[in-house]
Amino acid sequence: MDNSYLMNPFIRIAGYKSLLIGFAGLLLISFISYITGTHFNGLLFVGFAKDSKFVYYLLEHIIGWISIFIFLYLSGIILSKTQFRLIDVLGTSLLARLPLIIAPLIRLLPYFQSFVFQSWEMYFIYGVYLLSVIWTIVLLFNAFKISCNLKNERLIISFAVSMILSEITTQLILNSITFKF
Amino acid sequence: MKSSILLLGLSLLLSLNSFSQGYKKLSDSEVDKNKVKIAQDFATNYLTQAKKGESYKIQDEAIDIIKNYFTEQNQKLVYHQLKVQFGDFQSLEYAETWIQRNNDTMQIIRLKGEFEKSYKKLEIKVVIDNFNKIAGFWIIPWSDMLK
Repeated sequence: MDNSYLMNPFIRIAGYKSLLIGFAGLLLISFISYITGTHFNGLLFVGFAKDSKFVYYLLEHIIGWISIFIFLYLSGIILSKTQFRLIDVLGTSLLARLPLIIAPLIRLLPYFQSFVFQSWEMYFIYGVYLLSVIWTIVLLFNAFKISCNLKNERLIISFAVSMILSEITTQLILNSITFKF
Repeated sequence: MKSSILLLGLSLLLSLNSFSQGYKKLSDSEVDKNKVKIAQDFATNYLTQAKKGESYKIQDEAIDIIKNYFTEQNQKLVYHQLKVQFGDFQSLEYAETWIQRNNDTMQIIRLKGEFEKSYKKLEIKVVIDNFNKIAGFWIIPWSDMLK
């Protein structure tokens, strides 16, 4: 497994295959997030609290995924000059979220289950999370580039705008349901 | 060069570690069950009475500052704010106990409370002194990080 495969697996995996692997990954990440109490409020905010039912952790990941998928797909429709498949954007944008499993996995270790604010455990887990988010963003970028056949400025600007809009949408939705039925 | 980076990383980790030296989480065998019961009873009694629209009469289970602050009016005000945001109190359970390393006379007992309208559990934090009296009481969103 070389670097290019870790950063761009979409050359070999796309369509239904990426959707199936991605969906299995989403369920696994949600489950480990639930047992370790790791919240994903969009990509920018990670929280540590064993305070909710499984469905809430699952919703955080589903909303984050669907939100970025919608904006990437719309960008593709507006800007791409070639035909592309919805299933490719849907599957690859889900598969790209797999690195997010790293922080919840680390929180399975006893040191990281409950700790003090501003402790080394907190800084370590935030550091690991930051690296996993960078990896996820690189994967999302490559997924978008390959799925929608975009290049140069169109690719970079539409990806950045999609990421920002998706982050805002995810935050708004999650904040609106956090303390309500 | 590599060893310098390693040394720098180790120093950074050790300096960060010093931040967390102030508190220690007690293992199950170290936890004083009596203190936990005092904390649970206090929180349950207050929240249950407040849910019924009544006030809880604090006897000798709390220090004077708490007794003086927790007037009938303040009890109702605190519960009203909770109810508006999170709904009525449902139940609570014990979560964990922490102590300050340089002052083990105070124990921080963390309870998790369920409220009617909230997906998320809240933290009910009760501080108990070495005379087994309530010395602090907070209700805030739960976090696995002790703040």
